[in-house]
Amino acid sequence: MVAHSVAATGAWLRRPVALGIVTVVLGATGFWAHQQASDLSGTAAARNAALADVARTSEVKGEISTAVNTAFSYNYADVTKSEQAARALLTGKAVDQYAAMYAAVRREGPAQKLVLTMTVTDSAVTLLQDDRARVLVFADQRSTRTTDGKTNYSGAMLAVDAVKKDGRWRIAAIDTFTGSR
Amino acid sequence: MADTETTVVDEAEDSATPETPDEPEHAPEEPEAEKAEEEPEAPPEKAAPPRRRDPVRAVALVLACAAAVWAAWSGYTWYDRAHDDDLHYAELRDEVRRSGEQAVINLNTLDYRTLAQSLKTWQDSSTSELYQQIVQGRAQFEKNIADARTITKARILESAVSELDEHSGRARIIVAVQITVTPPDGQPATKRLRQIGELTRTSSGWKLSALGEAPVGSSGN
Repeated sequence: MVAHSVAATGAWLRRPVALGIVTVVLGATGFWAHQQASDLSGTAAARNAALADVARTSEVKGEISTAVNTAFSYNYADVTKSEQAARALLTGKAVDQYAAMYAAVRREGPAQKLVLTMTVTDSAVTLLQDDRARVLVFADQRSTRTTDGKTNYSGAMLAVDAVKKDGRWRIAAIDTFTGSR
Repeated sequence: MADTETTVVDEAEDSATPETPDEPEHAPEEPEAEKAEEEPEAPPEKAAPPRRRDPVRAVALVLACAAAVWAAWSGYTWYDRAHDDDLHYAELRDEVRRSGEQAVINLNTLDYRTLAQSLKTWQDSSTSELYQQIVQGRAQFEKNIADARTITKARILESAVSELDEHSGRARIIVAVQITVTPPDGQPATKRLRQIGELTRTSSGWKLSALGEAPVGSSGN
C-alpha cells in the first residue's frame, strides 16, 4: 500500500501541472526569503556604516577634523592662504555658510590683527553611507588679538555634512545648532 | 550467552524477513505505476505523441529546478544577512545611541516640584561611578534644588557614538544638548552644552557610567 502510494505520488509529481505547482510554491518561498533578506539589509541601521566600517569611519573623521581645523583657522597676516585653504575644503552650501560666518572676521580681522585657531578635540560619525557622511565635532577655538595680546578660548560644536569628492572628504554643510531651535 | 546469540539471530531474521518481500514488492509496483501513467497516453502513443508531451514536462521540470535554486539561494541570503556581524553591530550602535540620548536627557532634567521622581530617574539611568556620585550627593543636591526652585529641561540637538566595544559592554557617546533652566522668577535661560557620556551595558540595558562636559582649552596653549 505504502509503496504503491509513494510510486503514485512520484508519478503525479512528474506531471507538468504538479511541477507547475511546485514551481509556484518554491518561487513564492524564494521571493519571501528574498524580501526578508532585503528587509534586514535595507534598514536605516544597516545602511549606515558609521563605526561598523572602522576604516572608513576613521578616514572621514580624520579628514573632516583636518578640514575643520584648516577652514576655521584664520591669520590676519595671511588672509589669502586662509581663504584658499577653506575654498579647497568646502563645497556646495558650505561655501556660502562659511562666507557668512567669516564675514565679521574678514572685516575686523586685519585691524585687530586677529589669529583664530580651531582645534578639533572630539568627533564622531553619525552617518556614513557611500560618499556621504555626517560628523559631530567638538572643537576649541582660540582667538588672539595681536593688538592687545588677548587670548580667548571658546568651545565650539558643529555638525558637518561631508561628501567625498575626487577621493577626499569635503565639508558640504555646517550646522552650528544656532538656528531657530 | 546462548540467549543473546539467539536474540541476535532472531533480530537478524526479523529484519531480513520483511525486507525480502519488500524488495520484490517495489519491483513489480514501479512498472505498474509507469503503466498507469502511460495508460492514458496509450492510444495516441502509437502515433508518437510522447515526444509532444515530453517537452512540456521537460520545461516544467526545468522551471521547478530553477525555482528550487532560487528558493535555496534566497534562503541562504536571508540566513547570511540574519547572521551578519556588521548588521548586528550597526543595530547595536543605534541602540546604544538611543539609550545614551535618553539617559543624557534624563540626567539633564530636573524639576524641584517632583524632585524625588527626577532623582529616581537619574539613578535608573546611571550605573557604577555615576550612580555612586548621585546617591552620595543626593541629600545635599535635594536641598540645593529645593532652595533654588528651578526647572531644567533638556533636548538633544545631535549625538553620535564615538566608541563601542560590544565584548566589554562599554561605549562612548558625544552629545550636543540644549538645556533650558527656568528659575522661580524670571525668564528661562537656554544654553547649549557639549557633553561626553560613557555607557556601560547592564542587565537592564545601557546606562551612563560617566557624564561630563567636554573641556574647553584642553587642546594646548
